[in-house]
Amino acid sequence: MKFKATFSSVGVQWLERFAPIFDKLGKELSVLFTPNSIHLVQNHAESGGIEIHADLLKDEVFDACLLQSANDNKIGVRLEPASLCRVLRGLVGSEATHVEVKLIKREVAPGTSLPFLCFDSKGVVDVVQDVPLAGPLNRREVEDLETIVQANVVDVPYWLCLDRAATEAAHAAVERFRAVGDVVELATTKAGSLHLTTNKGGHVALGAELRGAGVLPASEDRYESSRAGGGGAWDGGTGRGTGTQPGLEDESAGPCERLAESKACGEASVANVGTRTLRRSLSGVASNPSRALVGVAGHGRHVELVFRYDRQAVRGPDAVGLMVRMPVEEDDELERWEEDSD
Amino acid sequence: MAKRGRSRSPRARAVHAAVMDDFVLDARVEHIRNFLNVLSVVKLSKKQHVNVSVSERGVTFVAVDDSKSLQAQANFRAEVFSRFRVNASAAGGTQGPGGTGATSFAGSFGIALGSLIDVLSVFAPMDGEAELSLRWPDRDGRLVLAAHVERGNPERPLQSCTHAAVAATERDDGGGPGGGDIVFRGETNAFTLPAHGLKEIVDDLEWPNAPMAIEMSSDPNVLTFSAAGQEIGELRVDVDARDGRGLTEFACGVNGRWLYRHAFAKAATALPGALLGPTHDRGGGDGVDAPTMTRVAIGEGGMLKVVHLVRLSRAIPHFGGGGGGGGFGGTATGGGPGSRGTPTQSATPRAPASYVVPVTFVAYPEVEMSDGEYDDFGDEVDSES
Repeated sequence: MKFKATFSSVGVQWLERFAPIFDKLGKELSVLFTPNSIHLVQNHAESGGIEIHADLLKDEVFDACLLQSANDNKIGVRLEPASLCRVLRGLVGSEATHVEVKLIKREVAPGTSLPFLCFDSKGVVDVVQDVPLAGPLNRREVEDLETIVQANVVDVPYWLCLDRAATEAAHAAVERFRAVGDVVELATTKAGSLHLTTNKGGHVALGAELRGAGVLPASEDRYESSRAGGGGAWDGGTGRGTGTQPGLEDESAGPCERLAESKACGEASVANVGTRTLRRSLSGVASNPSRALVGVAGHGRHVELVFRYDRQAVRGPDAVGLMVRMPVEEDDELERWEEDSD
Repeated sequence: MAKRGRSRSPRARAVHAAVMDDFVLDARVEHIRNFLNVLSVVKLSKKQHVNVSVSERGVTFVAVDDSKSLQAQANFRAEVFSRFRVNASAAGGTQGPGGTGATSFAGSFGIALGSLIDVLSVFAPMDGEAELSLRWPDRDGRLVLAAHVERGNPERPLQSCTHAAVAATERDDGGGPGGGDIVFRGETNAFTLPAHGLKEIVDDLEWPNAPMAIEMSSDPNVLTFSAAGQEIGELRVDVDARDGRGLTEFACGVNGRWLYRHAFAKAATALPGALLGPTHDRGGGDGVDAPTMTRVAIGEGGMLKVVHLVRLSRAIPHFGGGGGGGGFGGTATGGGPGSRGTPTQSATPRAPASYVVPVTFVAYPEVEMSDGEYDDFGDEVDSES
């Protein structure tokens, strides 16, 4: 098993963006190196309730990389995000120009040697720093990591595309939602609306609505038709009277009415997620993404959140991504529906 | 008073035509953060209930602490809001006594202040970007809050709307407007000083863990704050009350010494930094930079009244602060040298750049007893509540 690589000019910065997020979420972080990509992964238990992983193309992070293992040249290790953060911050701080990283075994006491990731940097000062590891992970553990990595972005009928400011606003709002409710009802519509609502025992209702977000794929976008009113594909067959058409008149109704309307038309994808879960998921906004995609996976089993970095990545928009998968709160659902109907 | 009509949504009208033609209160708050700050000051206990009364002159939040001997009140006058519309006729059955025509009283409701503050904190980051709309009641009698922000290209603007509804709670005093209030009357003594000064004094006197005494006498003018604890001994703060010195106002009709529970004094002076204003007058002379002033009055039976004249400035800095001298602060109209306001006198014909919100606390005095008795008394009050 061999791993030795030279960071690209942006490689350290990329890792330094993501490591703090994992550090905030949990005490453990798995790193998976494959011939094509690098993944920083936290599973459900490690992150406190969500599956989150940053995926980076190997070429984005490393200029040169030597990777050999008996397991299809994949290596997985587990480390403390805090110590990785410290090393990466140091590398950025010391303005290192040439950074190498390798997997080593170092003798810490006579007879016992432990694995480390050794960062060797040259610049104004030359520094060698070690990050202690658990691992390398065995074949099964690596497979588990791959399962998490590959699970995302499937079975999501459509995505809402939030720009940076909207993502930050959503994060800020959810941060405050904590004081009111433990569960947030998250709803997306094909008309490009995102609704986040929570309530406290029926006494306090609190919500944030965002309209006009992009819908991906574009073929699912119903923004125009929802505004035009009447002419929409989803409105045509219902034969509703002129008085209740969505569209311009809809402007006068409140966000709750609009959400109810979308639900009634089957236009909304709804999922209940824990306020804490959602807040933790949105903490990825600290990595300075260009935009975020939100999607309720088919049948509302979970909610997917993807942070995109578009032109920030040298190797194209798909070179870097941060994916989050949130579980939904299923137990509460029935109760909440009953409450709503009261 | 700004009073502009606006047609309600056709839908809402259709649904509620018979029940409710309109909201009784329809107001817009421009400075959300300060609005939140002021309400936080009024919050005396963890589960604070407030009565909100709405009249054409403004909105008043009244909170009484659990022992019913401290009352906090924030009065947002109509001109504080960027839009303020009251429709008393929409109040229907909720009309309070004496609410017919002669008075401007339009309705009142109770609300859990903690919930309102939790909700407002979601809106606070939008300060300066959006206006907060406050409406009451919706069809369930709730207070409805909303704020809209729109940006992006006009073809497909990104519209975000934050919305909330807080249920009104049962009024627990059963009275009409002002019912159950602690009434302050018969003012004998008063003095005015910057809020931060008073806050510092009260904070300093926390140490002895004893009731705080205010002692006043005239000729020569004396103003002393003190607290005497068993272990610490007595701590005194003498304020220079001679004419033309530290205090803006000093009136002493009755010489005497009054005791107040320190917790009350602390609650009554605990303004957050944002509401204290600059801690020293920068001498700009335009009043906008002046520190928040506090007027303390002592009335019949030693009742204490503390009024903070909290200034809500516009969230977005406006030029031409010269207009600000009008409201409060006759003290600050002297016009320091090098005043920077002059070139923009004509800039804001529309209103002063800031408004004053009086935040008032009224507290009963502490009856003087020996220490042991005092403790018993305190326990008794707590267990009652």
